[in-house]
Amino acid sequence: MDNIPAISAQHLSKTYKQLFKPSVEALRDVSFFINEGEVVGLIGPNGAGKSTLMRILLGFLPANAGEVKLFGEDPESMHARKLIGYQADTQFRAKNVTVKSFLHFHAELIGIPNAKDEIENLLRIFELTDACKRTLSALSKGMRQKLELVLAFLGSPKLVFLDEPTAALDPPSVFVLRDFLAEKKKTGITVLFSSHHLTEVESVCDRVIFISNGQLAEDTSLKGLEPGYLEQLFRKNLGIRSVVS
Amino acid sequence: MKTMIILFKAEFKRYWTLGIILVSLFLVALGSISPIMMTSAGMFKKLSQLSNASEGFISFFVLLIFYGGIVSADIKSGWLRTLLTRAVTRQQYIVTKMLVALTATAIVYFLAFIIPAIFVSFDAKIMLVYDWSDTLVSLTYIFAQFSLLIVLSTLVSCGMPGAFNGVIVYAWMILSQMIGFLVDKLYWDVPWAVVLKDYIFPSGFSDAMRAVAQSLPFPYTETLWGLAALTFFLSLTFFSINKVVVDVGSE
Repeated sequence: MDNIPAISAQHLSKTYKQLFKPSVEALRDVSFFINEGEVVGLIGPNGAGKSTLMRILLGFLPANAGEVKLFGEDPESMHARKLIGYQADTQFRAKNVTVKSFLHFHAELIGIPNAKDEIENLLRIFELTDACKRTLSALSKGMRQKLELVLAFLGSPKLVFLDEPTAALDPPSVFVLRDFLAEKKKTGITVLFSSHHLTEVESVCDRVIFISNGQLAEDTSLKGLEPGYLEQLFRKNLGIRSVVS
Repeated sequence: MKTMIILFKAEFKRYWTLGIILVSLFLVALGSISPIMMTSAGMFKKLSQLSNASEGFISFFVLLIFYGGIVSADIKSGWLRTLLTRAVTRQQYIVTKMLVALTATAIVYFLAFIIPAIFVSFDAKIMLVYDWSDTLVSLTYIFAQFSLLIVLSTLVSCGMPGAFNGVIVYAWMILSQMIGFLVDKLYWDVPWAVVLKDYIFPSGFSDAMRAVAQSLPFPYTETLWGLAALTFFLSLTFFSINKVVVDVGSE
């Protein structure tokens, strides 16, 4: 098990075919490995194919070509599913379900022992304790994002996909998430962290995968690099010059 | 199995919002009126006939209330994505979803059947024959017909949003009547037309219901056609749920 990567993506390609419109090539021959215990940032401009890549890795979207393995298994297999957590950039809404019952329902599905303590702990960390009796549809955007994070980390998954986790969070919640990820990193969790906030990626991730125009443009370790490196990477890859110059 | 029980409980609870409860009660009240009136007028003499009375009315409305957007609403709200991320397979989800829809329909239908039955039993002038075995057979066909509608709605809902999903199944119901009539009256000797009608617009269960109500011999052929059509659409539904894009994102 030790030599099996947490994520193995081989030659992934995806084209969206649309009626009466030209096809959109979202991913082209993307390959990479992510080992257990790595926290990897997935960055790139809007529409680069980051969310498409994440959905393919999770088995939610079929790739036109290529293969994905999570811990050596098909992403849709129950064994792989039990090991992963996912926070999506689209947020769910459900009437008639409270935050507490929603989390307890998921804990029961996953089969978590001492779910009550774990749920209370995660709600406290992400400052959702006061909202636990509210229905999901009554939550603000930021609260829903926090709930997505609680759900992603519920049951201590070995691999967590975070798709723009700080997009709707206020600064204190971003600090909480950053500290939480730092703590989780010590337990050997693997994280794929997609974000547009380069400083967040630099502060949290060990390595970064840069996607541009559906292709893997860079796959670099961040260890020992100067702060601001990712901005330079962006500028280099997208040909962006300083406005002043 | 444990996963499906947990999922069933949660899905069942989600179904019954205050609005749905009120609409269902209204539906039960309306669905009870016609059987009471028809039995009082002496048009129904047996319990099995009474059991058939509200089936068409209930099917027409539950299609929109319970089955409209049965899958597509869960995709849109992100509910399906949260389920499939961790512990539920697509097959477990779809089976549970259909079972919950059938249970919800059963509750509404039973109330719309039992209320008139109790009501007419208090009227000394009405001599209703309690033919339990025929009633049981009739109820089995009614639930088979509900199952077929649920399977069809689920199949359509895998690729269509809620409102269109309902419209398409309504159109299917109307076409089913029209094509059934045409094939029975004009093209009954054209084998491909009969086979096509029985698969695409199946009326096996409703024909069987009619046969039971008219005390005709047991409808073996109709039952088998109904089961064949149910299996056909169920297979298509299982195929479709595997093709559904779960997480419709911003890109």
